[in-house]
Amino acid sequence: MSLLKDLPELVSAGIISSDTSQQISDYYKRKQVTSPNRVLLIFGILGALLVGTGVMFIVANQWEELPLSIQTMCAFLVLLVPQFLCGYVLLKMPQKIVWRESTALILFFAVGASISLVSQIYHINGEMGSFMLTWMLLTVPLIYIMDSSAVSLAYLFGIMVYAPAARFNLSYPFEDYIYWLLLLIPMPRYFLLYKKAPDQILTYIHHWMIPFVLTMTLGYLSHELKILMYPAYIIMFGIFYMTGNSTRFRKKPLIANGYLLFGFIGTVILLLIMSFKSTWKDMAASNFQISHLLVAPEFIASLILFVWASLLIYQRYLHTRMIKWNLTNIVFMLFLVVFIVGTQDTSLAVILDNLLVFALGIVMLRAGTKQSRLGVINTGMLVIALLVVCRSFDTDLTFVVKGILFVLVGIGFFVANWLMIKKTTKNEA
Amino acid sequence: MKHRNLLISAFALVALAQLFVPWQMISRQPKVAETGVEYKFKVDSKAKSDDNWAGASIRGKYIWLKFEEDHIKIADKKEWENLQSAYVLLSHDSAGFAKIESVTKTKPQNSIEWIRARTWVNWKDTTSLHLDYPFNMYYFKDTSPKDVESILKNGLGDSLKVSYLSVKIKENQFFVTDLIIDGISFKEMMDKMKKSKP
Repeated sequence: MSLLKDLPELVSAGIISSDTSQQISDYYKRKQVTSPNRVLLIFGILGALLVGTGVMFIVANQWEELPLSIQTMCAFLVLLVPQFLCGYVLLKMPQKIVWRESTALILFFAVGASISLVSQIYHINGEMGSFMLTWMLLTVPLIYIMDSSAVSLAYLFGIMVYAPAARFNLSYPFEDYIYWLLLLIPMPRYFLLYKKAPDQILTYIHHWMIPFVLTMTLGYLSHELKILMYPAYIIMFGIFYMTGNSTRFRKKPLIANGYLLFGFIGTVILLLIMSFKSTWKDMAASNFQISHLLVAPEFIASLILFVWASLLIYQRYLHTRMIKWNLTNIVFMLFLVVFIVGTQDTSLAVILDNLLVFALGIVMLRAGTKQSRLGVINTGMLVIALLVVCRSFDTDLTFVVKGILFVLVGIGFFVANWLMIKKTTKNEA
Repeated sequence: MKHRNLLISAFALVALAQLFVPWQMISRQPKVAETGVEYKFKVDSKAKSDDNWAGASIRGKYIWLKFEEDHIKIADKKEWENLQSAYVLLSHDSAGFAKIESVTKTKPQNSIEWIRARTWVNWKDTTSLHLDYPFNMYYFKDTSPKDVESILKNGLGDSLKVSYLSVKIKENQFFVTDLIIDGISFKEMMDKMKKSKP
């Protein structure tokens, strides 16, 4: 810390008093204790991950020549050593974040390793679902007890693996919904982390992990009314986008804003999927009777997400006293209109969906030009280019026409970038 | 201080629970071995596998076994298509091998001789419901996959030789006793092979 080194010089030059010098040095000492060295934290967690993976490899390989009793003892030792380490850290140095995070993560892996070891030694081949559930339930308290973000991330990944196993195993009634309860457990700590340490690297990773896990698992709610998962997904991406675009997140660098990217990319991909006629073919076969809808998990999920999204819009309205009708913010609502139209006339819905993607691209182009942001302009161009690519798949256009379309989009990219760069250079001059 | 004590007590409880699960898994095994009903699942010597012999294939340190009694005829595939697992009630056939008595969607109440199996319907043959038992992976330790391969090739490749997996079953709990290939215990074969090696 160069400032700390310069303090005696500043005091002797009479710029600051010795009291102020003492206060500054105390402040940095305090800061050092509460905020860990970022590099040390990353390497600590990487080390724990490697140790954890190493233990897993040993599990896979087994100690072939050892007798059963020794093998069993080893299975328990794999668990006892990290437990002891965690206990020691909790007792002696609970304020050391790197130690807390790495020992908790090692224990997380050790629990899984120990169960696998016992299963292999005693030929107990259980189901993947029950193994993952047991592992996750036994380790989730560590998130709070050890105050560990690394375990929280590993747990989120773990329950993501559990979700399909639960969906297809169904060892007991409603097992496929247990995943959603499991997902709620680390959320209070995530919100605390977001408030207390918004700029910590592990908080940033959470902002990516949560939208990733939700994107990967929402689809497991799909049962008979599969088509209703499209509105559910698009509303969820809308929520991600609005979260990523909120006042708090907007100030953050893009690398810390997984919500914004997941929200935007997810929305575009989904709109593009829906721009194909074939995607709507399930619509005619779907039973949209109220009695059937009310018990369909896809409908319930869409409804909950819709209420959530509406609350977010309302909350923003309360905050700013005005609604910014930005197309990217409300694209999910427009899609819902398209979807309702689709229940009556799928051809019209396909046309409207194509128009929506096109409008989204144009709006981004316009916004990019207005704000002189090349990245936004290119994203808008990319959206339009992707739409052209998609249409070239399912239309009967000749190769020449398709070729011309691609050339035009390519020229569009060049011209837009050239004009923008020219404008920026002119402004700078 | 109070908060710290609470955390430490909570950690102690969690640590105990973490130790209890593997301990319980081990302690349950002798009970099933003692009170479970023994079933011999005949290896299907006609079924083709990915490897060059019938009835089994090697995946890492596991032998994946294909049993004769691993499917039942169904009338309506739609009834089973969305179901991923079911309860298999077992009995013995005249030769003493395991036989599927029935497959149900709900847990059997009046019998202990049942196991939960993963179910699937093959797109080629929609009249059969296939069952994957949790014990169809036999773990072989202490042996190299090459040695196991030679035993399986000689034993399972010949349809005249009878091979089976002996399992004790009690209300979904199971204990694998041994894999018998042409009347000889797989474990014994492995021991002999180990001793014969310099």
